[in-house]
Amino acid sequence: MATINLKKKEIEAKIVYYGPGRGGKTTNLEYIYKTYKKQVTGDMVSITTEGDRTLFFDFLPIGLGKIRGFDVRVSLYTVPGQVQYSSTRKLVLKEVDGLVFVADSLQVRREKNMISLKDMAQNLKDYGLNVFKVPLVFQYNKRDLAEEGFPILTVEQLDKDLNRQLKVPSLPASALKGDGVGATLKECLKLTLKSLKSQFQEGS
Amino acid sequence: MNVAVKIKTLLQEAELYRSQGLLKESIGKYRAAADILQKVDKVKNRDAYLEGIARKIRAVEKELDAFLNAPAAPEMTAAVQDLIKEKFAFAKDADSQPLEGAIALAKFGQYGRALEEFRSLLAKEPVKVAAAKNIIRCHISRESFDEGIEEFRQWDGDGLFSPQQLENLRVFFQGVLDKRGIEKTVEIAQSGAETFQEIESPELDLQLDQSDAGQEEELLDISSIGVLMEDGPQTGERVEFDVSFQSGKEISLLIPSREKGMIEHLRVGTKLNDIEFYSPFAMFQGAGIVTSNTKIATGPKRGDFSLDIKVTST
Repeated sequence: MATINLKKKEIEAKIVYYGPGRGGKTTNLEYIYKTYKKQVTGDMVSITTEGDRTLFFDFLPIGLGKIRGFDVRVSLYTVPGQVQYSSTRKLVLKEVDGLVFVADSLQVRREKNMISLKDMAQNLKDYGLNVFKVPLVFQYNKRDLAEEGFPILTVEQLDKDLNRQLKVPSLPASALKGDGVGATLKECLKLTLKSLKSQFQEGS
Repeated sequence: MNVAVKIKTLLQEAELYRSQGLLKESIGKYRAAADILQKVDKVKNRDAYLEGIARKIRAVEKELDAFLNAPAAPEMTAAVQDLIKEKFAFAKDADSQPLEGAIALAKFGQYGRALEEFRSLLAKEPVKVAAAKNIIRCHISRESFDEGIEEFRQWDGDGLFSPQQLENLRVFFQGVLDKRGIEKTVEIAQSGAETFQEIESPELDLQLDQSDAGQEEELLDISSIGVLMEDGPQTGERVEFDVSFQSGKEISLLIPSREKGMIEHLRVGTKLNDIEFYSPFAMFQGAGIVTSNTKIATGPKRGDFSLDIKVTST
Protein backbone atom coordinates (compact mmCIF):
# COMPACT_ATOMS: atom_id res chain seq x y z
CA MET A 1 0.00 0.00 0.00
CA ALA A 2 1.40 3.37 -1.00
CA THR A 3 2.35 5.81 1.71
CA ILE A 4 1.41 9.45 1.81
CA ASN A 5 4.05 12.01 2.62
CA LEU A 6 2.05 15.03 3.72
CA LYS A 7 5.11 17.21 4.15
CA LYS A 8 6.29 16.69 0.58
CA LYS A 9 2.74 16.37 -0.77
CA GLU A 10 3.72 13.08 -2.34
CA ILE A 11 2.31 9.62 -2.62
CA GLU A 12 5.06 7.04 -2.49
CA ALA A 13 4.24 3.90 -4.44
CA LYS A 14 6.22 0.72 -4.98
CA ILE A 15 6.59 -1.19 -8.23
CA VAL A 16 8.36 -4.54 -8.18
CA TYR A 17 9.89 -6.37 -11.12
CA TYR A 18 9.33 -10.06 -10.50
CA GLY A 19 10.22 -13.15 -12.50
CA PRO A 20 12.58 -16.09 -12.77
CA GLY A 21 16.30 -15.66 -12.23
CA ARG A 22 18.25 -14.50 -15.27
CA GLY A 23 15.07 -13.36 -16.99
CA GLY A 24 16.14 -9.73 -17.36
CA LYS A 25 14.67 -7.89 -14.37
CA THR A 26 17.96 -6.26 -13.47
CA THR A 27 18.59 -5.37 -17.11
CA ASN A 28 15.22 -3.61 -17.18
CA LEU A 29 16.01 -1.52 -14.14
CA GLU A 30 19.51 -0.72 -15.27
CA TYR A 31 18.17 0.45 -18.60
CA ILE A 32 15.51 2.62 -16.94
CA TYR A 33 18.08 4.09 -14.58
CA LYS A 34 20.42 4.90 -17.44
CA THR A 35 17.84 6.11 -19.96
CA TYR A 36 15.42 8.09 -17.83
CA LYS A 37 18.06 9.86 -15.72
CA LYS A 38 16.00 13.00 -15.35
CA GLN A 39 13.19 11.11 -13.71
CA VAL A 40 15.42 9.15 -11.39
CA THR A 41 15.79 10.72 -7.98
CA GLY A 42 18.73 9.45 -5.99
CA ASP A 43 21.10 6.59 -6.50
CA MET A 44 20.43 3.07 -7.58
CA VAL A 45 21.09 0.77 -4.66
CA SER A 46 22.29 -2.72 -5.38
CA ILE A 47 22.14 -5.42 -2.75
CA THR A 48 24.23 -8.21 -4.09
CA THR A 49 23.64 -11.83 -3.36
CA GLU A 50 25.66 -14.44 -5.21
CA GLY A 51 24.38 -14.73 -8.75
CA ASP A 52 21.58 -12.28 -8.24
CA ARG A 53 20.81 -8.81 -7.07
CA THR A 54 18.10 -6.75 -5.46
CA LEU A 55 18.06 -3.30 -6.99
CA PHE A 56 16.02 -0.28 -6.16
CA PHE A 57 15.81 3.40 -6.89
CA ASP A 58 13.21 6.13 -6.82
CA PHE A 59 11.55 7.32 -9.96
CA LEU A 60 9.37 10.32 -10.65
CA PRO A 61 6.89 9.53 -13.39
CA ILE A 62 6.11 12.52 -15.59
CA GLY A 63 2.87 13.22 -17.35
CA LEU A 64 0.72 10.77 -15.48
CA GLY A 65 -1.02 13.38 -13.40
CA LYS A 66 -1.51 13.85 -9.70
CA ILE A 67 -3.72 12.13 -7.21
CA ARG A 68 -5.79 14.57 -5.16
CA GLY A 69 -3.14 17.22 -5.73
CA PHE A 70 -0.29 14.96 -4.63
CA ASP A 71 2.68 14.06 -6.83
CA VAL A 72 3.39 10.39 -7.19
CA ARG A 73 6.87 9.11 -6.51
CA VAL A 74 7.58 5.52 -7.38
CA SER A 75 10.23 3.21 -6.01
CA LEU A 76 11.25 0.57 -8.50
CA TYR A 77 12.54 -2.73 -7.14
CA THR A 78 13.77 -6.00 -8.53
CA VAL A 79 13.67 -9.18 -6.57
CA PRO A 80 16.40 -11.79 -6.59
CA GLY A 81 14.95 -14.37 -8.94
CA GLN A 82 17.00 -17.40 -7.94
CA VAL A 83 14.98 -20.02 -6.14
CA GLN A 84 17.08 -19.95 -2.98
CA TYR A 85 16.22 -16.32 -2.23
CA SER A 86 12.57 -17.01 -1.60
CA SER A 87 12.49 -15.22 1.70
CA THR A 88 14.23 -12.10 0.39
CA ARG A 89 11.95 -12.07 -2.62
CA LYS A 90 8.92 -12.20 -0.42
CA LEU A 91 10.19 -9.34 1.71
CA VAL A 92 10.74 -7.12 -1.33
CA LEU A 93 7.19 -7.82 -2.43
CA LYS A 94 5.72 -6.50 0.78
CA GLU A 95 3.47 -3.46 0.36
CA VAL A 96 3.74 -3.59 -3.42
CA ASP A 97 1.48 -1.32 -5.49
CA GLY A 98 2.27 -2.54 -8.98
CA LEU A 99 4.05 -5.46 -10.59
CA VAL A 100 5.96 -6.19 -13.76
CA PHE A 101 6.45 -9.89 -14.33
CA VAL A 102 9.48 -10.33 -16.56
CA ALA A 103 9.08 -13.68 -18.28
CA ASP A 104 11.94 -15.30 -20.14
CA SER A 105 11.00 -16.09 -23.74
CA LEU A 106 13.58 -18.86 -24.04
CA GLN A 107 11.89 -22.22 -24.45
CA VAL A 108 14.14 -23.83 -21.87
CA ARG A 109 12.83 -21.37 -19.26
CA ARG A 110 9.17 -22.11 -19.82
CA GLU A 111 8.68 -24.03 -16.62
CA LYS A 112 10.71 -21.52 -14.61
CA ASN A 113 8.34 -18.75 -15.72
CA MET A 114 5.35 -20.67 -14.48
CA ILE A 115 7.00 -21.59 -11.18
CA SER A 116 7.96 -17.99 -10.59
CA LEU A 117 4.45 -16.73 -11.34
CA LYS A 118 3.00 -19.25 -8.93
CA ASP A 119 5.53 -18.17 -6.32
CA MET A 120 4.55 -14.53 -6.84
CA ALA A 121 0.85 -15.32 -6.49
CA GLN A 122 1.51 -17.27 -3.30
CA ASN A 123 3.65 -14.51 -1.80
CA LEU A 124 0.98 -11.95 -2.61
CA LYS A 125 -1.61 -14.18 -1.00
CA ASP A 126 0.48 -14.41 2.15
CA TYR A 127 0.31 -10.63 2.33
CA GLY A 128 -3.45 -10.71 1.82
CA LEU A 129 -3.19 -9.54 -1.80
CA ASN A 130 -4.89 -11.13 -4.77
CA VAL A 131 -2.86 -11.55 -7.93
CA PHE A 132 -6.02 -10.85 -9.91
CA LYS A 133 -6.38 -7.45 -8.27
CA VAL A 134 -2.85 -6.09 -8.03
CA PRO A 135 -1.85 -3.97 -11.06
CA LEU A 136 0.22 -6.34 -13.14
CA VAL A 137 1.92 -6.26 -16.52
CA PHE A 138 3.72 -9.11 -18.26
CA GLN A 139 6.89 -8.46 -20.16
CA TYR A 140 8.00 -11.23 -22.52
CA ASN A 141 11.69 -10.55 -22.60
CA LYS A 142 14.54 -11.71 -24.83
CA ARG A 143 12.47 -11.57 -28.02
CA ASP A 144 15.66 -10.58 -29.88
CA LEU A 145 17.11 -14.04 -29.42
CA ALA A 146 14.75 -15.33 -32.12
CA GLU A 147 16.76 -13.36 -34.66
CA GLU A 148 19.79 -15.37 -33.67
CA GLY A 149 17.93 -18.58 -34.37
CA PHE A 150 17.42 -19.71 -30.82
CA PRO A 151 14.28 -21.50 -29.73
CA ILE A 152 11.95 -19.09 -28.04
CA LEU A 153 8.32 -19.32 -27.05
CA THR A 154 5.79 -17.48 -29.14
CA VAL A 155 3.93 -14.58 -27.55
CA GLU A 156 0.76 -16.66 -27.92
CA GLN A 157 2.34 -19.54 -26.04
CA LEU A 158 3.54 -17.24 -23.27
CA ASP A 159 0.10 -15.68 -23.04
CA LYS A 160 -1.42 -19.13 -22.84
CA ASP A 161 1.04 -20.27 -20.17
CA LEU A 162 0.96 -17.23 -17.98
CA ASN A 163 -1.82 -14.87 -18.89
CA ARG A 164 -4.74 -17.12 -19.75
CA GLN A 165 -6.59 -16.36 -16.54
CA LEU A 166 -5.08 -13.06 -15.51
CA LYS A 167 -5.69 -11.35 -18.85
CA VAL A 168 -3.44 -8.38 -18.06
CA PRO A 169 -1.43 -6.33 -20.56
CA SER A 170 1.56 -8.18 -22.00
CA LEU A 171 4.40 -6.61 -23.95
CA PRO A 172 7.29 -8.08 -25.90
CA ALA A 173 10.72 -6.76 -25.03
CA SER A 174 14.45 -7.07 -25.50
CA ALA A 175 15.68 -5.45 -22.34
CA LEU A 176 19.32 -5.70 -23.33
CA LYS A 177 18.60 -3.44 -26.30
CA GLY A 178 16.04 -1.40 -24.41
CA ASP A 179 13.17 -2.44 -26.66
CA GLY A 180 9.89 -2.53 -24.77
CA VAL A 181 11.40 -1.49 -21.45
CA GLY A 182 9.90 1.99 -21.37
CA ALA A 183 6.57 0.76 -22.71
CA THR A 184 6.34 -1.90 -20.01
CA LEU A 185 7.08 0.58 -17.26
CA LYS A 186 4.62 3.09 -18.67
CA GLU A 187 1.87 0.47 -18.82
CA CYS A 188 2.54 -0.60 -15.26
CA LEU A 189 2.63 3.00 -14.04
CA LYS A 190 -0.68 3.65 -15.75
CA LEU A 191 -2.34 0.69 -14.07
CA THR A 192 -0.76 1.46 -10.72
CA LEU A 193 -1.83 5.09 -10.80
CA LYS A 194 -5.34 4.05 -11.75
CA SER A 195 -5.46 1.61 -8.85
CA LEU A 196 -4.06 4.18 -6.41
CA LYS A 197 -6.59 6.76 -7.56
CA SER A 198 -9.42 4.39 -6.92
CA GLN A 199 -7.95 3.42 -3.52
CA PHE A 200 -7.59 7.03 -2.45
CA GLN A 201 -11.07 7.86 -3.67
CA GLU A 202 -12.51 4.94 -1.72
CA GLY A 203 -10.55 6.04 1.32
CA SER A 204 -11.78 9.62 1.19
CA MET B 1 18.51 -31.89 -39.80
CA ASN B 2 22.06 -32.71 -40.78
CA VAL B 3 23.93 -34.13 -37.77
CA ALA B 4 26.74 -31.65 -38.08
CA VAL B 5 24.28 -28.76 -38.15
CA LYS B 6 22.40 -30.20 -35.19
CA ILE B 7 25.58 -30.47 -33.12
CA LYS B 8 26.64 -26.98 -34.12
CA THR B 9 23.22 -25.60 -33.11
CA LEU B 10 23.37 -27.34 -29.75
CA LEU B 11 26.84 -25.98 -29.08
CA GLN B 12 25.70 -22.47 -30.02
CA GLU B 13 22.73 -22.78 -27.69
CA ALA B 14 25.03 -24.01 -24.93
CA GLU B 15 27.22 -20.95 -25.38
CA LEU B 16 24.21 -18.66 -25.38
CA TYR B 17 22.78 -20.13 -22.21
CA ARG B 18 26.17 -19.85 -20.58
CA SER B 19 26.38 -16.19 -21.55
CA GLN B 20 22.94 -15.69 -20.03
CA GLY B 21 24.00 -17.33 -16.79
CA LEU B 22 21.71 -20.31 -17.45
CA LEU B 23 24.40 -22.74 -16.49
CA LYS B 24 22.36 -25.91 -16.02
CA GLU B 25 20.71 -25.39 -19.39
CA SER B 26 24.13 -24.81 -20.92
CA ILE B 27 25.49 -28.08 -19.52
CA GLY B 28 22.38 -29.87 -20.83
CA LYS B 29 23.01 -28.64 -24.35
CA TYR B 30 26.71 -29.54 -24.27
CA ARG B 31 25.82 -33.03 -23.08
CA ALA B 32 23.20 -33.42 -25.80
CA ALA B 33 25.80 -32.42 -28.40
CA ALA B 34 28.31 -34.89 -26.95
CA ASP B 35 25.70 -37.68 -26.96
CA ILE B 36 24.98 -37.18 -30.65
CA LEU B 37 28.64 -36.96 -31.49
CA GLN B 38 29.34 -40.22 -29.70
CA LYS B 39 26.74 -42.03 -31.75
CA VAL B 40 28.20 -40.94 -35.08
CA ASP B 41 30.98 -43.15 -36.33
CA LYS B 42 32.58 -41.42 -39.24
CA VAL B 43 33.62 -38.12 -37.82
CA LYS B 44 37.11 -36.90 -38.25
CA ASN B 45 38.79 -35.98 -34.95
CA ARG B 46 35.73 -37.12 -32.99
CA ASP B 47 37.72 -37.72 -29.82
CA ALA B 48 39.21 -34.27 -30.00
CA TYR B 49 35.75 -32.73 -30.39
CA LEU B 50 34.44 -34.78 -27.49
CA GLU B 51 37.36 -33.73 -25.34
CA GLY B 52 36.69 -30.10 -26.29
CA ILE B 53 33.04 -30.42 -25.24
CA ALA B 54 34.03 -32.17 -22.00
CA ARG B 55 36.38 -29.26 -21.25
CA LYS B 56 33.52 -26.82 -21.81
CA ILE B 57 31.25 -28.84 -19.52
CA ARG B 58 33.90 -28.87 -16.80
CA ALA B 59 34.31 -25.11 -17.09
CA VAL B 60 30.57 -24.47 -16.81
CA GLU B 61 30.30 -26.93 -13.93
CA LYS B 62 33.04 -25.00 -12.18
CA GLU B 63 31.05 -21.78 -12.60
CA LEU B 64 27.97 -23.54 -11.29
CA ASP B 65 29.85 -24.87 -8.26
CA ALA B 66 31.17 -21.40 -7.52
CA PHE B 67 27.62 -20.12 -7.60
CA LEU B 68 26.20 -22.90 -5.45
CA ASN B 69 28.98 -22.80 -2.87
CA ALA B 70 29.46 -19.06 -2.61
CA PRO B 71 28.31 -17.28 0.53
CA ALA B 72 24.68 -16.31 0.03
CA ALA B 73 25.22 -12.71 0.95
CA PRO B 74 28.47 -10.88 1.44
CA GLU B 75 28.75 -8.33 4.22
CA MET B 76 27.38 -5.02 3.01
CA THR B 77 28.43 -1.54 3.98
CA ALA B 78 26.80 0.05 7.01
CA ALA B 79 25.08 2.55 4.70
CA VAL B 80 23.42 -0.21 2.66
CA GLN B 81 22.48 -2.03 5.85
CA ASP B 82 20.85 1.14 7.14
CA LEU B 83 18.96 1.44 3.89
CA ILE B 84 17.70 -2.14 4.18
CA LYS B 85 16.40 -1.31 7.66
CA GLU B 86 14.72 1.79 6.35
CA LYS B 87 13.21 0.31 3.20
CA PHE B 88 12.05 -3.03 4.53
CA ALA B 89 10.57 -2.19 7.90
CA PHE B 90 6.93 -1.34 7.45
CA ALA B 91 5.50 -1.27 10.97
CA LYS B 92 4.48 2.08 12.34
CA ASP B 93 4.90 1.56 16.07
CA ALA B 94 8.18 2.21 17.81
CA ASP B 95 8.69 -1.32 19.09
CA SER B 96 7.96 -3.46 16.09
CA GLN B 97 9.57 -1.15 13.52
CA PRO B 98 13.17 -1.83 14.65
CA LEU B 99 12.32 -5.51 14.97
CA GLU B 100 11.18 -5.60 11.36
CA GLY B 101 14.33 -3.75 10.33
CA ALA B 102 16.49 -6.33 12.07
CA ILE B 103 14.54 -9.16 10.46
CA ALA B 104 15.08 -7.54 7.06
CA LEU B 105 18.83 -7.41 7.71
CA ALA B 106 18.81 -11.10 8.54
CA LYS B 107 16.78 -11.91 5.45
CA PHE B 108 19.43 -10.22 3.37
CA GLY B 109 22.03 -12.35 5.10
CA GLN B 110 23.46 -9.56 7.24
CA TYR B 111 23.52 -11.74 10.34
CA GLY B 112 26.22 -9.90 12.25
CA ARG B 113 24.42 -6.58 12.18
CA ALA B 114 21.04 -8.29 12.63
CA LEU B 115 22.29 -9.97 15.81
CA GLU B 116 23.42 -6.61 17.19
CA GLU B 117 20.01 -5.15 16.47
CA PHE B 118 18.10 -8.09 17.94
CA ARG B 119 20.25 -8.02 21.09
CA SER B 120 19.47 -4.36 21.60
CA LEU B 121 15.77 -5.25 21.46
CA LEU B 122 16.02 -7.76 24.30
CA ALA B 123 15.53 -4.86 26.67
CA LYS B 124 12.15 -4.03 25.16
CA GLU B 125 9.44 -6.05 26.85
CA PRO B 126 6.91 -6.21 24.00
CA VAL B 127 9.39 -7.60 21.49
CA LYS B 128 12.02 -9.34 23.59
CA VAL B 129 10.75 -12.91 23.00
CA ALA B 130 10.48 -12.29 19.26
CA ALA B 131 13.98 -10.79 19.28
CA ALA B 132 15.32 -13.81 21.16
CA LYS B 133 13.72 -16.23 18.70
CA ASN B 134 15.29 -14.35 15.84
CA ILE B 135 18.68 -14.43 17.57
CA ILE B 136 18.27 -18.21 17.68
CA ARG B 137 17.34 -18.25 14.00
CA CYS B 138 20.41 -16.18 13.14
CA HIS B 139 22.63 -18.68 14.96
CA ILE B 140 20.91 -21.54 13.16
CA SER B 141 21.41 -19.85 9.78
CA ARG B 142 25.05 -19.16 10.57
CA GLU B 143 25.41 -22.64 12.00
CA SER B 144 26.90 -21.08 15.12
CA PHE B 145 25.01 -23.55 17.29
CA ASP B 146 27.37 -23.50 20.26
CA GLU B 147 27.40 -19.72 20.32
CA GLY B 148 23.62 -19.80 20.26
CA ILE B 149 23.44 -22.23 23.17
CA GLU B 150 25.91 -20.09 25.11
CA GLU B 151 23.78 -17.02 24.47
CA PHE B 152 20.70 -18.92 25.63
CA ARG B 153 22.56 -19.84 28.85
CA GLN B 154 23.31 -16.16 29.42
CA TRP B 155 19.60 -15.34 29.13
CA ASP B 156 18.97 -18.10 31.63
CA GLY B 157 21.55 -16.70 34.03
CA ASP B 158 20.56 -13.06 33.59
CA GLY B 159 16.94 -13.65 34.48
CA LEU B 160 16.00 -11.71 31.38
CA PHE B 161 12.95 -13.87 30.74
CA SER B 162 10.24 -15.34 32.91
CA PRO B 163 10.52 -19.11 33.46
CA GLN B 164 7.67 -19.65 31.02
CA GLN B 165 9.23 -17.44 28.35
CA LEU B 166 12.55 -19.18 28.82
CA GLU B 167 10.93 -22.59 28.47
CA ASN B 168 9.14 -21.35 25.37
CA LEU B 169 12.50 -20.31 23.90
CA ARG B 170 14.19 -23.55 24.95
CA VAL B 171 11.48 -25.65 23.28
CA PHE B 172 11.72 -23.50 20.19
CA PHE B 173 15.53 -23.73 20.03
CA GLN B 174 15.60 -27.46 20.72
CA GLY B 175 12.86 -28.05 18.15
CA VAL B 176 14.80 -26.30 15.41
CA LEU B 177 18.03 -28.14 16.31
CA ASP B 178 16.25 -31.51 16.37
CA LYS B 179 14.57 -30.83 13.08
CA ARG B 180 17.91 -30.15 11.46
CA GLY B 181 19.38 -33.29 13.00
CA ILE B 182 21.84 -31.40 15.17
CA GLU B 183 22.63 -33.41 18.27
CA LYS B 184 22.89 -30.65 20.81
CA THR B 185 20.82 -30.09 23.90
CA VAL B 186 19.48 -26.80 25.11
CA GLU B 187 18.94 -26.87 28.86
CA ILE B 188 17.69 -24.53 31.51
CA ALA B 189 19.82 -24.42 34.62
CA GLN B 190 17.22 -22.86 36.85
CA SER B 191 14.63 -25.00 38.58
CA GLY B 192 10.90 -24.61 38.26
CA ALA B 193 10.60 -24.45 34.52
CA GLU B 194 11.21 -28.04 33.66
CA THR B 195 7.64 -29.06 32.97
CA PHE B 196 6.36 -28.41 29.51
CA GLN B 197 3.76 -25.72 29.49
CA GLU B 198 1.54 -24.54 26.80
CA ILE B 199 3.17 -21.62 25.07
CA GLU B 200 1.61 -18.39 26.08
CA SER B 201 -0.21 -16.44 23.44
CA PRO B 202 2.51 -14.97 21.28
CA GLU B 203 3.69 -11.48 21.68
CA LEU B 204 4.60 -9.55 18.62
CA ASP B 205 6.58 -12.25 16.95
CA LEU B 206 7.85 -11.62 13.48
CA GLN B 207 10.14 -14.26 12.21
CA LEU B 208 13.04 -14.71 9.93
CA ASP B 209 12.52 -17.41 7.34
CA GLN B 210 15.30 -19.90 6.96
CA SER B 211 14.82 -20.37 3.25
CA ASP B 212 17.54 -17.98 2.19
CA ALA B 213 20.09 -20.36 3.57
CA GLY B 214 18.64 -23.09 1.41
CA GLN B 215 16.73 -24.86 4.13
CA GLU B 216 13.12 -25.82 3.96
CA GLU B 217 11.04 -22.70 3.99
CA GLU B 218 9.38 -22.10 7.32
CA LEU B 219 5.98 -20.78 8.03
CA LEU B 220 5.27 -17.60 9.84
CA ASP B 221 4.79 -18.18 13.53
CA ILE B 222 1.28 -19.50 13.88
CA SER B 223 -0.64 -18.75 17.05
CA SER B 224 -3.79 -20.68 16.20
CA ILE B 225 -5.53 -22.45 13.37
CA GLY B 226 -9.10 -22.98 12.23
CA VAL B 227 -9.78 -26.40 10.71
CA LEU B 228 -12.82 -27.00 8.56
CA MET B 229 -13.96 -30.40 9.79
CA GLU B 230 -14.76 -32.82 7.00
CA ASP B 231 -15.75 -35.70 9.23
CA GLY B 232 -17.21 -36.41 12.67
CA PRO B 233 -19.74 -34.57 14.83
CA GLN B 234 -18.61 -31.12 13.72
CA THR B 235 -18.61 -31.76 9.99
CA GLY B 236 -18.82 -28.49 8.08
CA GLU B 237 -17.79 -26.38 11.08
CA ARG B 238 -14.53 -24.51 11.42
CA VAL B 239 -12.96 -25.49 14.73
CA GLU B 240 -10.21 -23.33 16.20
CA PHE B 241 -7.19 -24.68 18.05
CA ASP B 242 -4.32 -22.90 19.76
CA VAL B 243 -0.88 -23.91 18.57
CA SER B 244 1.24 -25.10 21.47
CA PHE B 245 4.47 -25.54 19.53
CA GLN B 246 5.77 -24.96 16.06
CA SER B 247 8.89 -26.06 14.32
CA GLY B 248 8.98 -24.97 10.71
CA LYS B 249 6.02 -26.47 8.95
CA GLU B 250 5.09 -28.78 11.80
CA ILE B 251 2.69 -27.55 14.41
CA SER B 252 1.45 -29.16 17.58
CA LEU B 253 -1.92 -28.69 19.18
CA LEU B 254 -3.12 -29.59 22.63
CA ILE B 255 -6.72 -30.79 22.52
CA PRO B 256 -8.67 -31.24 25.76
CA SER B 257 -9.95 -34.70 26.60
CA ARG B 258 -13.54 -33.45 26.37
CA GLU B 259 -13.07 -33.23 22.59
CA LYS B 260 -12.52 -36.98 22.37
CA GLY B 261 -15.36 -37.37 19.89
CA MET B 262 -13.65 -35.05 17.47
CA ILE B 263 -10.14 -36.43 18.05
CA GLU B 264 -11.25 -39.80 16.76
CA HIS B 265 -11.79 -38.20 13.39
CA LEU B 266 -8.31 -36.71 13.30
CA ARG B 267 -6.39 -39.94 12.93
CA VAL B 268 -2.82 -40.08 11.67
CA GLY B 269 -2.87 -39.59 7.91
CA THR B 270 -6.07 -37.55 7.89
CA LYS B 271 -5.80 -34.80 5.30
CA LEU B 272 -7.04 -31.41 6.41
CA ASN B 273 -7.82 -29.65 3.18
CA ASP B 274 -9.02 -26.34 4.52
CA ILE B 275 -7.07 -24.76 7.34
CA GLU B 276 -6.93 -21.09 8.24
CA PHE B 277 -3.63 -20.16 9.86
CA TYR B 278 -3.63 -17.20 12.20
CA SER B 279 -0.31 -15.50 12.85
CA PRO B 280 0.06 -12.29 14.84
CA PHE B 281 0.09 -10.22 11.68
CA ALA B 282 -1.46 -12.27 8.94
CA MET B 283 -4.10 -14.85 8.22
CA PHE B 284 -3.67 -17.27 5.38
CA GLN B 285 -5.15 -20.52 4.17
CA GLY B 286 -3.64 -23.87 3.44
CA ALA B 287 -3.78 -27.59 4.03
CA GLY B 288 -2.09 -30.14 6.25
CA ILE B 289 -1.92 -33.74 7.28
CA VAL B 290 -2.16 -35.25 10.76
CA THR B 291 1.19 -36.86 11.54
CA SER B 292 0.68 -37.80 15.16
CA ASN B 293 -2.25 -38.16 17.53
CA THR B 294 -1.21 -39.08 21.04
CA LYS B 295 -3.02 -39.23 24.34
CA ILE B 296 -0.88 -37.55 27.00
CA ALA B 297 -0.17 -40.12 29.71
CA THR B 298 1.54 -38.04 32.38
CA GLY B 299 1.79 -34.54 33.74
CA PRO B 300 -0.76 -31.78 34.17
CA LYS B 301 -2.22 -32.35 30.69
CA ARG B 302 -2.79 -36.05 31.32
CA GLY B 303 -5.77 -37.35 29.37
CA ASP B 304 -5.61 -34.56 26.80
CA PHE B 305 -4.41 -35.18 23.28
CA SER B 306 -1.33 -33.94 21.48
CA LEU B 307 -1.94 -33.60 17.77
CA ASP B 308 0.84 -32.91 15.27
CA ILE B 309 0.05 -31.50 11.87
CA LYS B 310 2.44 -31.12 8.98
CA VAL B 311 1.50 -28.14 6.86
CA THR B 312 1.55 -29.31 3.26
CA SER B 313 0.57 -26.11 1.52
CA THR B 314 -0.18 -22.47 2.27
